[in-house]
Parts: sequence; structure tokens; C-alpha cells
Amino acid sequence: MISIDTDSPVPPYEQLRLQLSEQTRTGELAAGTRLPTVRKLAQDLGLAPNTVARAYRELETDHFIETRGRNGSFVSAQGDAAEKQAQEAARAYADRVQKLGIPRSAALAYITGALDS
Amino acid sequence: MFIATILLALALIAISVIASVIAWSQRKTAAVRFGKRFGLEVPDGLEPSIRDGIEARRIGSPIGTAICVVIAAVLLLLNPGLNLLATWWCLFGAYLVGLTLGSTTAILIAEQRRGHGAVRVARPKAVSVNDYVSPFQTGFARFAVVLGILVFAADCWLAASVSPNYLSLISGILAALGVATLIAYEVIAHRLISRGALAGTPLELAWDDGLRSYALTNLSGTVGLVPLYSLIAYDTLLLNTTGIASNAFFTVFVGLLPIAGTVCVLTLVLLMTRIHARQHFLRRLWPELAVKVDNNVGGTYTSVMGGR
Repeated sequence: MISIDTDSPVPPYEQLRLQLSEQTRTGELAAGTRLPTVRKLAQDLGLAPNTVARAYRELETDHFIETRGRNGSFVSAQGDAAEKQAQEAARAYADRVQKLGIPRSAALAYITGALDS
Repeated sequence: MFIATILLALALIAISVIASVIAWSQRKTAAVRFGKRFGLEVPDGLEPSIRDGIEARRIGSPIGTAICVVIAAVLLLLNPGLNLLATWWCLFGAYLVGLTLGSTTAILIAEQRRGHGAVRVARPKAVSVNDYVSPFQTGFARFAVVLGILVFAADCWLAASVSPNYLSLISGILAALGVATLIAYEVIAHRLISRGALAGTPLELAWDDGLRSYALTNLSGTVGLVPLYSLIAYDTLLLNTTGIASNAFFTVFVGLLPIAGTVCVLTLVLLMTRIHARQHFLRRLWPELAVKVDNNVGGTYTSVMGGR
């Protein structure tokens, strides 16, 4: 979840950039996750679209996110090559179990079981 | 037929108004009941605009119903050839459409009136229509529309030999109506989810998701029901037409097939309600909250912060 306080001395674009980069770094936002469009996020947060676009641009410069043409902006894989591959595999697994309608708890149990075996 | 049509229309409008008056008298508990249906707890000091949105649908329902039933009644009076059964199905279909459109429009208008606070929260992930409405429900709507097109195609195929030309025209209009409502739904659904949520807390965002899910679920249900009731109205007209009943092939493929399809669709609807379609958005957007609902565990909304 992103929270923006317009009364804060920290500029809104900086609050947005910091929170998104932190969530990307910690894995809360998994690699391959599609971010909302600039316009949608600006409306949600009551900000000007330019403010959100500036935060996205800086995140892209820092390789936290990547823009794939008209498909939108996506979270980039972080860390070394092995970590990047693991994050991409995790994203693919999450997409698959969601499509199959498998509950979160069961999906996590399968992963734990596979890792323990 | 003239008086019967007017009486049926007035009866449906009266039912809607009475239902709304009863619901209005219970408005103080409306948020609690809405929360229960959608798996959301009601916090102290729930955002007034969200309460407005929930209550607005009670005002919107009778207005939408009255408008749609009056339009349908006028169209039926201009075309007095329909029998009583077909008239009833047409008016009932208009009643359901009006109920949904009225309440959904009222919710959307109330949502636009939200105020602005200093703190705003947002979901850092893109959402899709499938997060709010089960793909099963969307599939139901598409299936019903395809059914209408198939009937029209069969009608055109057999038109030269058996079916009177005016029946082909009616089934063509009904199929086009189904396609138009489906396209309108797809456009409205995408516009609705691309609108800003304007929430000050994660809980407000969850309630906003609930209202959007409610509106989209109702709309997708209506999109499925419009061609369905059109088909039933068409069937009653078709099977009463002289010379049709004697043609076994025509009766089976144009008369009975849609009825069998209708039964299938209604069965799917029953299954749909059994898989807790209303909590679909919780499972997709607020998985931790959905686990609580599934386990019937109470508690605070602090875990909601971790929602999708």
C-alpha cells in the first residue's frame, strides 16, 4: 500500500518514489508486477499526473521499474542473475495459481513442501 | 392487452417502490448488512461518502426501475402483437435492467462526491476487471449473448422455409441488443476500474473495492439476463405462431434449444452464487482479509495494510 501525506514537508513525488523503491527492494512488490498507470495512480492519490510520472521516471533510471511500451510499467527483478531468475519464476508461479483459483495458503504450502523435499 | 400491459407495468413499479421504502427504513443498518455480504467489517466512523454510496442505491433502484419499465411498456403498447406471456417477460426483463442500472448509477454518482483529505492511500499494483468480477460471471454474460446470436442465425437459416420474416427480424433485434449490452458492459467496466479510488485509509479502499465489485457484479448479471429474458420472450412468441409447432426440427433447434440453454444458464447462476462470487474481490485484492472471512475470524484491519 502507498500512502501520501500532502501536508508532509517531503515532496509527494519523493514520498512515492521512496515507498515504491522500498517495496521493490524488500520484495513486497514482486518482479514482473504491473504498476498502475500514471493517470490512475495520480487520481488515487489526488496528485498531478506529472508528479507520478516524475517518480516513475526516477524509479526507471534507478532500475527499480521498467516500461514496456504500451503495456505499462513493471517492477524489475532485483539482485544478481540467480535472484532475478528466482523472482521471475515466483511471479510466473503466482500468476499460474491465481488463474487456477488456488487459495494463497495452499499455494504457499506447495512452495514450502517443494523447498523442504 | 392494453390494460394488462399497463397493470403489469404499474405492479412492477409498485413492487420496486415498496421494496425501496422498506430498505430505506432500514438504512441505519445498511452498511452492516453490506459489509456482511461482502466480508467487510464496519469500523467506527465509516467514511460518510461510503455510507452515501450504499444508501444511494436504494434511491436509484426505484427510479431506474420506473424509467425502464415505462419505456418497455410504451414499446409494448406500440407493438400490440405480443401475447401476455411475452409481455410479462419483456416487462420483467426491463424491471431487472432498471433495478441494476438505477442502483449502479446512484453508487457511481455518490462515489464522485468524495471529499479530499491530506492523506491518500493507493494500491501500487494495476488491477483488472477480473479482480472485481469473477471470470465465470463474465463468461456467463458472454454465453447468454452468444446464445442469442445462435438463435438469430438458426432463424435466418430456416426463415425461407418455416419461420415468418418478422420473427427473424425480432430475433435479430434481440441478438443485437445482447451484443450492445455486452459491449456497453465491457466499456463501463474498464472505465470504472480506471477511475481513482480516493481513499484515506486501506479500509476505505477495501470498501471502495466492495462498492465497485457490487456495481460490476450487478452489471455483468444484467448483461447475462437481458439476452436470456429476450430469448424467453421470443420463445413464447415463437411457439404460439401458427405452423411452427408442427415443424419438429424447427421446434427443437429454435424453440427448445434456447429453453435448454436457459436452464443451463440458470444452473450456472446457481453455481456462481455457491462459489461466493461476492467475496471474489477480497480473494483477489485483499487475500489476508479473505482468509479471515473464510475462517470467520474477527479482528482489526491492521492486516489489511498488506492487501494487494
